[in-house]
Amino acid sequence: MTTLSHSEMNTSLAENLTRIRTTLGNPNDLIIREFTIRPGIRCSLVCIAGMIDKDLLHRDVLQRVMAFDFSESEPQADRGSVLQLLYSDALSFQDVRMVTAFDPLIEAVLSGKSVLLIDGSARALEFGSQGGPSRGIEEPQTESTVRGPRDGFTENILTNKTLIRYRIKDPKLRFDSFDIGERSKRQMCVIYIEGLTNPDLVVEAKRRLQTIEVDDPEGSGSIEQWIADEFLTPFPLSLETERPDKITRALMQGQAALLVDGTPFGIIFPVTLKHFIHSPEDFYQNWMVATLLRILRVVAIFATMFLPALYIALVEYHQGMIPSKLAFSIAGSREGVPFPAVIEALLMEGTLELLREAGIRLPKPIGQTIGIVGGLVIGEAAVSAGIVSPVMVIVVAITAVSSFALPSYTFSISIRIIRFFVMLAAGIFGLYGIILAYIAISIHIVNLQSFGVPYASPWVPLILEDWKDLILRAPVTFLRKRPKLLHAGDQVRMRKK
Amino acid sequence: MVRPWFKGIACLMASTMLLTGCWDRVEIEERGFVLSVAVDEAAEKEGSADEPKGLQQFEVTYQFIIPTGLMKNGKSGSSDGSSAYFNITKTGDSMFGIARSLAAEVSRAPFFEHLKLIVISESAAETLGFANVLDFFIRDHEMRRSVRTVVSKGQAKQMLSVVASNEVIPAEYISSILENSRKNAEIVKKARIGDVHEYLLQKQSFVLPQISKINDKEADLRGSAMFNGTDNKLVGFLSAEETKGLNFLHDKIEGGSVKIKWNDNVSNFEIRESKTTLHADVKDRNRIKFHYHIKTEGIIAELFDRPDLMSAPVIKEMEKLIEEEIRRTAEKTIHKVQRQKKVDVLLLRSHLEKNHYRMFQAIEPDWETGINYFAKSDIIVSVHANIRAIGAINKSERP
Repeated sequence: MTTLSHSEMNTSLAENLTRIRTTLGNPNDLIIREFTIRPGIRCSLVCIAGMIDKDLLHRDVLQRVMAFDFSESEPQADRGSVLQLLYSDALSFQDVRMVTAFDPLIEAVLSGKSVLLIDGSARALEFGSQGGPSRGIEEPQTESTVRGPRDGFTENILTNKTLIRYRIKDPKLRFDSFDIGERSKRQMCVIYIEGLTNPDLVVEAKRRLQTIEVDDPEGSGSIEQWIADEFLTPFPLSLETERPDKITRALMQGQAALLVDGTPFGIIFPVTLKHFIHSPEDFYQNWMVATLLRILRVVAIFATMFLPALYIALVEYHQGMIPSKLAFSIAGSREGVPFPAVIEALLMEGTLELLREAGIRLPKPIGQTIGIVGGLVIGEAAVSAGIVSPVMVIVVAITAVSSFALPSYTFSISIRIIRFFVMLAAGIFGLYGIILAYIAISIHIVNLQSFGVPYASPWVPLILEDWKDLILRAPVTFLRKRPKLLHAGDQVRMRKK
Repeated sequence: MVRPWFKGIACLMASTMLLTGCWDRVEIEERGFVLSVAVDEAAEKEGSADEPKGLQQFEVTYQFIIPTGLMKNGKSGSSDGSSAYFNITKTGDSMFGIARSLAAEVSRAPFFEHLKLIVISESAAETLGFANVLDFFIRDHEMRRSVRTVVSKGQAKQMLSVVASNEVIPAEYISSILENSRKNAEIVKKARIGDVHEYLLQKQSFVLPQISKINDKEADLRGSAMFNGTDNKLVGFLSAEETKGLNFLHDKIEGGSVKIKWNDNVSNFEIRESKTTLHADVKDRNRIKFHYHIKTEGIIAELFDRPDLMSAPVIKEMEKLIEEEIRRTAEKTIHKVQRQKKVDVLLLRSHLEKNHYRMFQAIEPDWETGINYFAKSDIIVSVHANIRAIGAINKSERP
């Protein structure tokens, strides 16, 4: 299974050190600081350069231990109790643990902790002195809000946990941590609130997480796919976020969350369609404003999915359904366009996706240039060259803008992929095709589940009570209960006082 | 391992997608949008002897849109070469035949889903059989039931070249004027072809808007054409004034003016609201009594005298004059249609059918013909006018 074997530590310091060296392949960033404390006890501090907080280790460990006179305090004690004495009398470091086996010792060293070994003792002290490179808390890059908090998750799980603890002071807030990945041993934790979150959900989540058997689950995105109910779907079955306030809110609603070390994205589960229309901002604003914005987002979803398809269907099959003047103007603008509308649309939408993809890869300073060149120049040139009609450019532009209006990037990508499918259907069957595609999508969606929760709820199955916070965001005082579909342990959010 | 049934279904789906699709696909720019059709009577035409031949000869003029011309300058002017429309005239004994033979002559086959207007000439409506003319336009699936129908005095074809300087397409020009019934009470409220079809089925006499050409840039849509419900033939025209009276009786007034005599000069009253109720007293079927009550409200729009409009007696006086004027107009219309033409374009037939069904069943065959209960009936009009406002001022000058 692993290269390490479970075994006790040796009492000889030299032997232990040799063993550590051979296990790790004696890398040059392995620091083994050997020193002697009175009366002649040889000690060794083991850590890996770059992963530790040097100052902290120096001030609270090395200085203290070196200055400690063991002979003064208890001359008769044996070597075994030296560590105990150091622990209780000398060290001012907070996060100290006793290690007895060799494997955890190696793991501790590799995760940036430092270990103090003493000659003659088969035990060691482990200090949580992780330092190393870490990014400061910055504003979330992919989910900006106007009135929301500005802090976003970082790659460090400790920081991320702190950001959540900082918001919820409930003693029942649970971070059930475990390591994941056979080789990478990433720390990961399932977050929930005991007594609020449905316990079955937590059990099921843990069960699914335990089935992961990769060397390294590359970030939360990969874990998300490991634990998803269904893989034959373009829709995300859990919600990724870099906003601690979003996770906080999810926890309070009865959902659970997941944090993985090394990625600034947490995962919220279970999710339903509605969570992709909701933005944390909805709750920072007046309920009417929030409701209107949600309606706007729903419209944006439909525009992204169906607008180009509708254009194709109307222009190729159902010219009678376009208002007369618009029909004549479209006909006039398409005069001389060499492609049928469906090819024209696929071409332009393809170009748009290309631009979007290129925009991500491009170095930031060039990004803007490509936006202008791609959007304006290509669009303008294509129209004046007579390859596409101006109306098509408008349709593409509206589609693009609406797809970026959705709060969840993953979800908007799914919608954009479906759009191509609908466009093809419209190109082949016209409006009839769009309706067939819509039915197909609906069938697919109502069949989806996220951790056993129907994806289309509370529409299907119908839970009218949950509609208070669906498209409508009722005034805060009306939202006394948690969403029913999550079967939270504690249904009431607000108790009358 | 792919299961065989799955392969089969995949094959079927792929073939439905790839082999069948797109058969109805016609790009929008390949359509020949027909915006308007004019129907005239044509002289007899020689065809091959053994071909089935109809009793009638239509001369049909199609008005096609030129979308690029419409976009480019937005001007009509067939002189500058980039017109927004063109007309094609064809003759034949069936509408559908003409439409299909047209496809052999214009590159873009006629497409009727945006048809707005059908102009039927006086002579075509009289002789060709109105229902025959309309049959294709009601029956064909490409047609909309909201197509407007007008009857032209003189050649219908000519109407499709009349366009005002501020409009681009004649058909649009005429349709827009039809919308003005809310400003002018002398225009018949636009008649949808669907409504006309209902009249034809109900044997109800009806009126259609009438159009006459003044010059190349102006058409006149005041007045209306009367159709007889028994054989659906054009029986005559109503003048502008009579049409206004009819609109009052039909409760179709959406606006317009009433001119009254006031101290040797005239004054104008603008109608803002008008409601007409009709009651029928059918005790004596030989002398059915119809009572129209017109209730109208409006403002004083123009006045060439300086009475004190703040005084109630002046207003009362004015209201009385308005009432008299409206009653005079309405009675003139009634006289024309009931006494002279004896066609029930007042829609009394459907009123009786809806409200006195049993009685009407008995007299139905003799309503407009034979005993002619319609001509024998008594039609009374009473008017109540109310001047809601005197306008923004009281007097325009001190007398």
